Amino acid sequence: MAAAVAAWALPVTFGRVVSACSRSIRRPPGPGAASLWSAPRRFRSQIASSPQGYVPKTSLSSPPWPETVLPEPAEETRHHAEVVGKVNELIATGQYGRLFAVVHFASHQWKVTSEDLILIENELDVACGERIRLEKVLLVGADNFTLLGKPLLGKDLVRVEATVIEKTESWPKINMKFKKRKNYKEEKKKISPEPTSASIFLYFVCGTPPQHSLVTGVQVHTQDLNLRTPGHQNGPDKLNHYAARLAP
Amino acid sequence: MVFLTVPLWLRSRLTDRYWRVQEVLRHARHFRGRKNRCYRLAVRAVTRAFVKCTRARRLKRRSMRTVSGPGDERKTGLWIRRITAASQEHGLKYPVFVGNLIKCQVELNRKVLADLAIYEPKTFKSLAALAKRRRQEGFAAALGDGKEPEGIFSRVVQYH
Repeated sequence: MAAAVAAWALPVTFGRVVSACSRSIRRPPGPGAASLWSAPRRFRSQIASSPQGYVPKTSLSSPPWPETVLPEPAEETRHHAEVVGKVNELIATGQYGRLFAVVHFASHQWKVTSEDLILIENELDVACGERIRLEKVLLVGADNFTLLGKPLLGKDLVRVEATVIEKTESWPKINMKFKKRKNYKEEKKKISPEPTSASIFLYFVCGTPPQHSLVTGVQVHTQDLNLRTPGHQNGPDKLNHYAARLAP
Repeated sequence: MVFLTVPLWLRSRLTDRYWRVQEVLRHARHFRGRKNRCYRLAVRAVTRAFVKCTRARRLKRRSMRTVSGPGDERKTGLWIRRITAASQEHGLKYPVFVGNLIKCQVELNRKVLADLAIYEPKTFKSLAALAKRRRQEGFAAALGDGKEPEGIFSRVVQYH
């Protein structure tokens, strides 16, 4: 009898673990779990009745990973709309200090602020002193909020502009090939053109608030929205007139 | 008849040997021992130095991301180690963090993620929160039975 009981205990606990797994993510178990329960259910009627779905706590009654509860979709949409509204308000009123952006340019990604210098390893067909607009913006952030692109942000949202300062040549890089004992030695001096671009100007294009669900970057920062302290994550707050630099 | 006296008398001799030697020795001035003075030894040392310099220029970029060595079981470079440390501060592991960020279509590379982790802690925290949430939605989609609505942060944006 003991052996028979032990043989039954296994399918019962297995069925319970499966149902507990799907229950741990806060969703009701579907039709797949029912077929695993039906066999042991017939035998359970002889056991003393317990409340429906009650599983006594054992080492196998719940899965070993922690149970996570995702928030309700309706409540979450409300929270998201509230956060997006706050960010739009901040952008529209211009209450941000220094902005930084992550820009993809010349096959590199650069983390850029205003008055930053970038050294690019190839030649651009641009004269010195001309203004360039860097269009592939992946991320824009200020002290209290960040906007992430999926993967790029819209061109009508941020403008990142740069001025080309100088176009120089690099120092002569030496390319040396050598094979020992074969009398093979080759040296080439490579001088590549290196234009330098300067003061990156970052500003929001006024008018269009963010449309997509880019709320993710804001979720964590909303606690800070109430504290308007002057310091920000880049360093001491220098100038606030960048906030007023919106597109004409 | 060919008169060879004049061409034999006008030999072409090397006049800029000093400068040719100096071109090599100036790259060897900071070396140790006789290699920084004697041309015959300096030539070999300078050649080896140039070859190592050429090779290192390509390995430098690689070493920031992966470092291959006998002692390393996991090949990690500077960027990856920094991102791991920063994500551990927020309770995530590096593969979880990076994998979930990519699933959310955030295409930031490791160099920029390391810079954000150092200089923009708030932004990094929000990225970690995003990765965590996407992970939970992934689990819900995998362990649930397919009848639930798909997560908000798992939505994929289509561009034309």
